[in-house]
Amino acid sequence: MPFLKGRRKLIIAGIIFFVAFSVLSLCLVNPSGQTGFCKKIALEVVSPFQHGVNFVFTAVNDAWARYVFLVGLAEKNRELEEKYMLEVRDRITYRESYFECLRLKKLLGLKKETSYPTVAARVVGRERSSLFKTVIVDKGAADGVAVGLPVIAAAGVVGKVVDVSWTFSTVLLLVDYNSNIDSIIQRTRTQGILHGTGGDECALKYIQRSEKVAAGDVVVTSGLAGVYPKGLFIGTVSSVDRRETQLFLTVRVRPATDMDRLEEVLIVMMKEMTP
Amino acid sequence: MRFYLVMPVVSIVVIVIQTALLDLLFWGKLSVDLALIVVVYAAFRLDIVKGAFFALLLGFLHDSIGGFIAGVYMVSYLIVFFLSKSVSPHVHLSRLGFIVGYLSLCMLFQGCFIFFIYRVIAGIELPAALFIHVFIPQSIIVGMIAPFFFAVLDRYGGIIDD
Repeated sequence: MPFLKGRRKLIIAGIIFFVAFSVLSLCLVNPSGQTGFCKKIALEVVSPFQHGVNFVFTAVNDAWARYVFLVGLAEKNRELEEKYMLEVRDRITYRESYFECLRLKKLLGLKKETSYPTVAARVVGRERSSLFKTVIVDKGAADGVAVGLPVIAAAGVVGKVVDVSWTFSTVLLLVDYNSNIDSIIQRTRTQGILHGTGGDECALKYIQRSEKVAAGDVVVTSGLAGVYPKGLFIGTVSSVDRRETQLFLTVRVRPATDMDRLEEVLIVMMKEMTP
Repeated sequence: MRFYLVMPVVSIVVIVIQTALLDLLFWGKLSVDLALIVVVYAAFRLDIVKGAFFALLLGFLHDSIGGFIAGVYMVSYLIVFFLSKSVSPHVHLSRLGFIVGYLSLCMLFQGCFIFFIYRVIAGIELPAALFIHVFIPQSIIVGMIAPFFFAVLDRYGGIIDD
């Protein structure tokens, strides 16, 4: 065909754009929630390199912190921090159980507490760009990890699995804009949606202005949406804004987990245990 | 042929530098879209098919590693590539002011595109303040560092082209 002569490159470029546009359109129109084969391959190929770079930098950083700058002090401080966070988590868990018992007694019913198995994973890569807050962990489908499973750390909730390849998974952090977690304020039992704001804090939405929420209140998962088990510690209320013109309160929540210092996480195998 | 063998390796290196190395160097406080700089450079230096493949692969890897909606970076990089390709016959890449200004504009355009896809089409709540707090500083940073990366690509970019 003569009109194609000399335009071959332009047509190929057009086809490339059409392919990309089709992928985007398909994902927007019909989001499957499952990780595609090509995406799995990409995760498998890139993640080890990220792991390598992370490993080298972490090793150099640790060596500097531990042996050159503050000999022994960094290690001690880290141990104490970990111990403290575990203590805080235990205290929150006991308190949550106590409140739960009180409610159950009132109802004269008993509910069997569900415990889920977990898979420990190491953070091997991070995407901390201004828009997306995700981490890559070194456990994948081969270890039983699936899309949608909740991820926690010693201090509290981290996020949920959004992509899974064979040996790696991508975890969407709770501070990401795309993250929404059904939560309750432990003291008042007020329910709201914890929405990521892309920064260090989250926003607890749809809390009525009449609710008595105060800074320092503990926020835990409600267990209602079916993604996170009930009663997982998320963080504490850092500020409450009561504007006369607004229907709902503006509640800011500081997550218990420091997302910048995540090293190891636990993936909660919820779906496997669901009867 | 060499280009199509080397391109995937170079793309992986670019994405790893962007997501791991630069992130660690800037303590996660600064986001540098190195892939976008490479895409613009490819538009000025490579032919349309090779450059489009390069942009597609960079976008795909970026989508796979960090993106939430598949295809956002693929399409945005390709749009930037085709825009740059159409501009390339009329300007010379050695002008420092042009590189800084043009890369800043491309970054800002990409920010607007992602904002549009997420907020308007996907319905994900992104605050409009992102433009002031994120997109504008990011576009300035990308514009500022682009001449350095262009110099590096001028020196070593020959290894990917036939």
